[in-house]
Amino acid sequence: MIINKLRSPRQLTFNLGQLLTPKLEQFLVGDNLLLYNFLDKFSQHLVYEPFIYLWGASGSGRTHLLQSCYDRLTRLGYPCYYFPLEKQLNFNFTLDEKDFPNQYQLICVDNIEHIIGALSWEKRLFNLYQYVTNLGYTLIVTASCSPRQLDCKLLDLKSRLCSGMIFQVHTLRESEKQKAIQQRATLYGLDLTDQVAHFLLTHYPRHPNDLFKQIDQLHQASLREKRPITIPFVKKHAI
Amino acid sequence: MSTINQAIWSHCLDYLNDDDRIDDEAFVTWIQPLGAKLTDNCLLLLAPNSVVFEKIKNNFFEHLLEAVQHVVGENNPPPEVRLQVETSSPMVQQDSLQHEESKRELPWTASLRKYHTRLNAQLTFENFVAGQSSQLAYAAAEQVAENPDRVYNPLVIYGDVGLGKTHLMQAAGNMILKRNPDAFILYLHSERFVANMVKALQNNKMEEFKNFYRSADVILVDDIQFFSGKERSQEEFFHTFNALLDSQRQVILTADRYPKELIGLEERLKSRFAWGLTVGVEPPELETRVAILMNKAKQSNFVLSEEVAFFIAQRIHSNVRELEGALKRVLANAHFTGQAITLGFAKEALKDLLALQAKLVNVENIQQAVARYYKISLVDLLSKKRTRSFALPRQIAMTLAKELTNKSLPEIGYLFGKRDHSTVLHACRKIKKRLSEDFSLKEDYTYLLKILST
Repeated sequence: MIINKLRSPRQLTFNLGQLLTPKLEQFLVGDNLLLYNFLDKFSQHLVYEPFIYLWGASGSGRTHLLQSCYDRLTRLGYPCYYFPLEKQLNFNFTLDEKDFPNQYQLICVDNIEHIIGALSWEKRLFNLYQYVTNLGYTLIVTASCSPRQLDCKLLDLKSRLCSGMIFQVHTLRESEKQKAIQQRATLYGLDLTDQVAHFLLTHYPRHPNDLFKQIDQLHQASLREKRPITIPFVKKHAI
Repeated sequence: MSTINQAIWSHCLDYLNDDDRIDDEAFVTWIQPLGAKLTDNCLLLLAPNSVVFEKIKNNFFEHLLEAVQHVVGENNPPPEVRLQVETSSPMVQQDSLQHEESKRELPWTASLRKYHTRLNAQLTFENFVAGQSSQLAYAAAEQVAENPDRVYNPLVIYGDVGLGKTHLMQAAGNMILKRNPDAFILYLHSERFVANMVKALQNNKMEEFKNFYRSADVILVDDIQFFSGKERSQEEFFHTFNALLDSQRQVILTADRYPKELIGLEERLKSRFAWGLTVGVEPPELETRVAILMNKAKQSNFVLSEEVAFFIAQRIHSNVRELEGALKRVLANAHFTGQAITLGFAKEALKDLLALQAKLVNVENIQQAVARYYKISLVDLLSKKRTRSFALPRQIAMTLAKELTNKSLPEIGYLFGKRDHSTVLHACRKIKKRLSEDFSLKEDYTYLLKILST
């Protein structure tokens, strides 16, 4: 067994996927031009807005946008906090004001739909909203639906979520998905031909998250085997 | 107000030195050189030169305030903190301009009291558009601000969410503060009162808590309905309320409904609230909404035509927050594109915001929209029938599903009567080809794409 392993050594690769922190410039604008322009200015601190609400389907890129705002403003030296709700719920983390001392000038709360309907959580989010906006800082939240559609128990929260800049993050169109995966591949230094990209889109799950995972997987396999990504290669290695 | 003892600044320095946000170098370079003069009500911080002054002002002043608050104790009335360039400093004397400046009252010099009030300076009577629905509340708040504790005490403003209760309350607070800059005006949400009380109980600091709230000249408590069911907080608020009223301090409260109708609130509290004046705020009527929009646009240096204002106001009538959100969106769009705000422009900018039932596009929505458009039943659309009148809409629906959703081809096939993924692929290819040849089909497709994606 050991001998077999030695005979066919497996190339170990660095986990380069970790290097891909979302960047605003990498976001494929598509139908989201106004949103993109706004966040571009906002994340350079050229416009101020106390509350921003981004909503869209899974895979539309709302978390990408949120994280890239966080990343840009952090790089500019502003103290920011990113708070993915589904994960924090597991750790019993709270949204209480005491958890957010004055230093955070931008607070990003991802996937608020997970706490809507739970009154105590809604109150925490409400308090956070009040706290952040009163201090003149910014709160950005993301959700899977528009604020009007949120089934909030706390109407005070709902009315506040309906204020500010509300943007729908439109899902990528078919042609844009192809561009998106090719762009992702380029970030890895890979050349994904139109033919291969089209093959991926027509033969595998087309959800952007699945497609990106696919590229990550192919990238790792390509590094290991030192082979370019072709259709036979995809057939062999795609998830 | 308690006297600041001589040790306060050294405690502040200790606190700042331990603050992770300030590295050692910054502490030694900028904070340590500050001198401090301590008087009864004021902590005067003296920067040795204008460079240190600017640096502290821009980067560390909030930290200083925080440190002072920490040292004084959260529930103690906060002292005033001022920062200025030390006039005796040789560097300043060399520079007459800076010397002159240091003698002036620095415009940004902040009082920790003001910092603590949490009043939003943007919320004033000048930028509140009062319509018929809020005229009475506006007038009452203005009178209270002009004559605190003379006319209506307490003043209770009630109404649905997003109608301007907080704005009016804070406008009164800001006006009082403007007329009397030394007044201790405390604005807080009722939840904060509860949270602070819990903290005080935990730390055995109830006396400090009581003294803090009872030392306010004017107290503004938002959303008192949140006291509902919290008996201990109600009890404490009741005593605070009485103490303030007895010592002729103004109290302004807001609630989401008429106080008598508040559930879970003690009767004696409700009865106290009725001592002064209770005024309601109703949703603004169309003309007021238009005026609000035009006013807000003007504040942002944009000119909004009545036509556009009416268009937005007719579509958003539930609350002012949403109205302002819609306007911000139009203005942002105009700012980024440099276009004039016409009716068509506003419609385009608000298309997804105004879609009342805006929902995410899914295969079911697409099927329904296509079936409705071609006037066929959903059953026929999903059936195995291959006549042209059913096959074409089915192929269009499949193409739209591929275009607008993230479903895989096998998933789309399954949702269209358990068909194979190759059927979906065939449909998409066929429609794509026909779209380039058949103008009327292209029109149908474009229309469906538009109604589904906006």
